[in-house]
Amino acid sequence: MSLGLLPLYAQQSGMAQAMAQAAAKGSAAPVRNAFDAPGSREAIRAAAESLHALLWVIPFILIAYILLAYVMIRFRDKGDGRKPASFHENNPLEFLWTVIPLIVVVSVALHSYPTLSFMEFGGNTPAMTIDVVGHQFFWEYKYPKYGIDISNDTLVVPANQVIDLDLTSVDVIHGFYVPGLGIQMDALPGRITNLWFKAKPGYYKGQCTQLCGADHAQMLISVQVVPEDQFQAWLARHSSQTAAPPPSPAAQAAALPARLSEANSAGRQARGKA
Amino acid sequence: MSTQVATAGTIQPRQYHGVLDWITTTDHKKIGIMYIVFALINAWFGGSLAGMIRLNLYNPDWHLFSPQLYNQLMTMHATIMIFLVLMAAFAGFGNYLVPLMIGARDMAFPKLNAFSFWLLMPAAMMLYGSFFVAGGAAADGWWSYPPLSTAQFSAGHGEDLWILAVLLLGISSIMGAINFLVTVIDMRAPGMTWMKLPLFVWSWVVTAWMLVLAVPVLSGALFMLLSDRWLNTGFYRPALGGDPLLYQHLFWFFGHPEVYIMILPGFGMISHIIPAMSRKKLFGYKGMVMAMWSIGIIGFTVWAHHMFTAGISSTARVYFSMASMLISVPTGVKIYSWLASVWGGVIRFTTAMKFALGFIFTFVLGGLSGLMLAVVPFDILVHNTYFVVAHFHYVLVGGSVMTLFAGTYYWFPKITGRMLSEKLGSWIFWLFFIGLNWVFMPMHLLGIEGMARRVANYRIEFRPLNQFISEGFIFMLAAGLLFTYSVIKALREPKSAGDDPWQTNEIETHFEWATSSPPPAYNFEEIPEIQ
Amino acid sequence: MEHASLASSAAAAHAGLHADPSEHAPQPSFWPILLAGGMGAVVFFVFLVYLGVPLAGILLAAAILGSLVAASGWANTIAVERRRMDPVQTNKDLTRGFFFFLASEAMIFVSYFEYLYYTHFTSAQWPPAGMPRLETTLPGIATLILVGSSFTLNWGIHAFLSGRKSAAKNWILLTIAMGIVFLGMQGFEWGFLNGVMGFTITTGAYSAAYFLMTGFHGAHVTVGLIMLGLVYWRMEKGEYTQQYHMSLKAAEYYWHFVDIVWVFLFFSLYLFQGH
Repeated sequence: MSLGLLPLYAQQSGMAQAMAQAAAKGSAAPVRNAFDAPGSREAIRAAAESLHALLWVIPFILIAYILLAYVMIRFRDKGDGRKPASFHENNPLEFLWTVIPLIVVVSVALHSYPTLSFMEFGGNTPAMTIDVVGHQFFWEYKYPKYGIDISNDTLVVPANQVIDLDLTSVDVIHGFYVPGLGIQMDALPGRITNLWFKAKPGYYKGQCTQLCGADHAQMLISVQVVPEDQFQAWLARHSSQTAAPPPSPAAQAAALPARLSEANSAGRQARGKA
Repeated sequence: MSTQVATAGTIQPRQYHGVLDWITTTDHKKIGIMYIVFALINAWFGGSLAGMIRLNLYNPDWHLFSPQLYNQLMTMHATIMIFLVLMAAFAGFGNYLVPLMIGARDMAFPKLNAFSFWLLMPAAMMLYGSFFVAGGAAADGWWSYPPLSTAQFSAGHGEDLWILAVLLLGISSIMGAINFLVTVIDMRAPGMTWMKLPLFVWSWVVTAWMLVLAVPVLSGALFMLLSDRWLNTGFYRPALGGDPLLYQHLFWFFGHPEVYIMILPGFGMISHIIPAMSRKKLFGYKGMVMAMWSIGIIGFTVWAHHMFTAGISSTARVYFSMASMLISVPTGVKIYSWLASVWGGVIRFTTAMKFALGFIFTFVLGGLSGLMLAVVPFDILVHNTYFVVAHFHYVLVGGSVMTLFAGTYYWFPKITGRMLSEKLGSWIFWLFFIGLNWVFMPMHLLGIEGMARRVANYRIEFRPLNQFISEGFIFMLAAGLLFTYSVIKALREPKSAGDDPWQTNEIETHFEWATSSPPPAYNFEEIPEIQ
Repeated sequence: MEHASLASSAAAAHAGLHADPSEHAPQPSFWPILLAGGMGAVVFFVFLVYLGVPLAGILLAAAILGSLVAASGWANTIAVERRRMDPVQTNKDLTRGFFFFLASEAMIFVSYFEYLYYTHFTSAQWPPAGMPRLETTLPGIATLILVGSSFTLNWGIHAFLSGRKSAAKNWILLTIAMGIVFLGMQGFEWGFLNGVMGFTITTGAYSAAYFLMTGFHGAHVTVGLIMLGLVYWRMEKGEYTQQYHMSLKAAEYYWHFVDIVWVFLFFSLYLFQGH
C-alpha cells in the first residue's frame, strides 16, 4: 500500500525522473523496516542481532508461559478436598533460575557488542559527509563536498558507498530515524552526533522521533539511494542551479500542516487508481 | 467491643463528622481510602485523555485536535497516569495496609501523612487548570526535554504550571516515603523481625528508599529548568555553555527508578494474593526480598538506556545495555517464584487471582520487550517508536494496573467490609485483559514498522493498525465503567465480608486479616505479636 | 464486633499500652490540609508574581504568612500531644525521619554537583572562556568560619548536656554570629561578582551553576540560622531538659549537614578550577 505514496514523494523532491528510471529497474520498492526489507548492512546486522537476542530469551518466556498454563490446569481447585503442598523453598532451584538467566543475558549483551561497534564505527572511511541540520519542522541537508544545501527535500545519496551523516540542530532536539537503513540518532543543538550507512539502491522512509513541537508528526524523512550515475546526474542538476537559501521557518511552518494529509490523500488516490 | 472509660489525665479523642471528619483525619486508613478514590477519579480523567488520543489517531484525516492540543493531551495523559493515578493508588494501598500488616496503630507521622495527601490537591488543580491558561497545558511530553521546554520554544504558561505541580508532587512523595520508612523501621509489632515482614511491606520499603533518593534529583533538574524559563539562565542552553543532554541524564536518573516505584508495590501485592488463592505459603521469600532489593539498587544504575540514541558515548551504551539486562534476572526470579508458589496448591480462581495470573502473562511480555530494548542494535531500530509505547504500557498497564485490580479485589473486603461481585469481576477481568492486549500488542508491530511515538498524525500505511488499536480501547473503557459500577454497587450492600474472607490466615498469619473488616480506628485492640 | 487478637496473652503485657485502645487512634487535625493548601497557594502565587499579576505580591505574602501560622499551629499540636506519648520512641522516630529528609536534601545537591562536574568535564577549559577565576582567599576564610561554627555548636551542646546552660547559650550565640558572618561574606562575594566582575546568573552555564549552588546553600544556611535562633529562644525559656531536646539535636544535624555540603562545594567550585 505504501507504493501509492511514491509518485507524491517523487514529485515533491523533484525526483520524478530518477524515480521512474529506478522503478523501471525494479529497485524502487519502498523499504519499510529493517526486518522485512533491510536496506543496509547495518540494518541487516541489527535485525539479526535482535533475532539472536529473541531466540535466547524466548525459551525462558516459554517456560514461564507453559508453567503458567500447566499450574492453572493441574492445580485448580477441583473440589476433591486435595490438600495443598507445603514446600516453600528450594535453594538449588532458586540458584539455578538466578544463575542460568544471568549467564544468558550477559551472553546476549556481549554478543550484541560487535554489532553495536559495527553500527558505530564500521563506516570510518566515508565517501561523503553530509551535514544534517534539524529545524522546526524540516531537515536541511548540506553536501559540503559539492556546495549543495537543500531543505525540506529528499536526501539523495549514492548506493554502496559509506555515507557519513553529521547531525545537529538549530533549535530543539530532533531524532533522525530511517528504520530501513537501521539508523537512528538524535540531532541536538550545540553538539554534533554522528551516523553512517552504506545502502542498497532504494527509497527509504523515516521521520523525526524526538518530540520537537506542534508539527513533530510532519517532520518526515525520505532517503533516495541511487546508483552512482544517477547521483551524478542529480548533482549536476543541483549544482547548475544557484543554491537557494532554505525557506524561512515561518514560510515552512505555513506550508507544513497540510503536507501529511495531502500526502495521505494523494496516496489513497494513487492506491485507488492502482 | 471492650471499651473502658478513659482514665483521668488522658485526652479524649476529638471527633469530627461528615466532610470535616475526612479533611481533618490523620487515620492512615481514611487517608489511604482518599488516595485510592483520588487515583480512581484521576484514572477517569487520564483514561479520557487516552480515549481522545486514540480517537485522534483513528483516522489521520479527521484532524480532530490540533497537533498542539494533541501534544497537550499526550503530555497530560502521561503526567496524570504516572503521578496522580499509579503513584497515588499505590500510596493509598501502602497507607492503608502497611501499618495494619506490621501490627501498628498508625503511621509514624499521621499528620505528615495527611499533609502528603492534601498536597496532591493544589498540584492536581494546577495540572488541570493549566488547560485553561494562555497557550494551554504543557505539551512537551512528560520528560519535558529542553530546549523544547524552555521559554523560547514553549512560551505558554502550561509548562510553568506543570513544573510547579510536579515539584509539589515531589515534596508529597518524599514526605510520604519518609513516613513509610520510619513506620516500618520503628513501629513493627513485637516479634516482627525484618525477615518476617510481609512482602507488600518490603516492597514499600524498597519503593520508599527509591523515592527518597530519586525524586530530589527530578526536583533539582526541574528547578534548573524553571530558572532557565524564568530567570533567563543558561543551565540547558548550548549558547551559554549549558547542555540539554544533561537534563536527560538528570531526568532519567529519576525517571528510571520511577518505573520501579510504580511496579514494586504491585509485586508486593501479587506476593500476597497468589499464596492466599493457592492455599500455599509463598515460595522463596528470601529470594523475593533479595530480588526486590536488587531491582531497587540496579534500577539506579541503568538510566541512560533511555538515551541510547541521544549521542552518548560508545562505552556508556555498552555499560547501560549490560546493566539494563541484569535487571531482568531478579525480575525473572520473581516470576518463577510466583509460579512455584502456585505449584502444588489448590487454586481458587477468584477475580483477584485472575488478575494476578493475568498480570504474570502480560508483565512477562513487558519484560521481554524491555530486554529486547536493552539490546542496543535493536533499540536503534525501534527507539522512540510505538514499540517503546507498547513496552511501557505492558509494564504499566499489564503490570501496575493489573496488580492494582488484583489488590483491589483482594483487599476491598478488608477496606470496606463488603465483597465486590465475583460475577462482574470475571467480566471486568476478561474485558480488561482482552482490551489491553488488543490495544498494546499491535503497537509492537507499529513500532517495528517505524511509526514514531508522540505523533498527532501519521502516514497512511499505519492506518489499519491504528484503527484496530483504537477499537480495542472500547474494551478497556467497558472494563473501567463496569468496575466503577461494581464498586458503587458493592458499597451499597451491607457489611458482610467478615474478618478474613479469603481464609488467608489459615495459610500464614497476616495481621490485616486478624482484625475486623473494616478495622477500627485504632486497628488492633491489642498490638498483635508474632509467635 | 469482634477483634481477633493473635497472641492475646502476650500482647497485654506490652509496656506502654493503655487499656483503652481508642486513645491510640491519631488525633484529627486541620493543620495538614491548611499547610498543604498554604504551600500550594505559595507556589501558585509565586507563579502569579512571575506573571506580574497585580496584587500577587500581597497574596503571596498572605499565603506565606498563612503557611507559617499553619506550620506553627502544627508544631504546637505536636508539642501538646507528645506529652502523652512515649518520648523516647517519638524522638527516635523524628530523628530517623529527619535523617531521611537530609538524605533527600543531599540528593538535590547531588543533582547540582552532577550538573557542575558534567559541565566542568565537557568544557574545553575551566573556568569556561570569558569567565573569571573565582577568588579563593575570602571564601577560604568563610569556609574556616563555617566549619568552625560546627565546632562551636558542638561545644555548646556539650556544655548544655553537662549542665552549663549559660555557656551553652553563649556558644550557640557565637555559632549564629559565625553563620551570619559567613552569609555576609557570601553576599559580599555575590555583590563583587555581580557588580564588579559582571559575572551574573545569566552570563553562562558556569555562572548559573555557581549562583544556584551557593544560593541554594545560602538558603540552607539561613534556614539553619532560623532553627538555631529558635533553639536559643527555647533554651532561654528553659524548655529543654537533659532528656528532651529533640529540636536541639535536629538543628545540630542540620547545621552539620549544611557545613559538610559547603566543604564539598568549596572544593568543587573554588579549589577545583585548574583544568
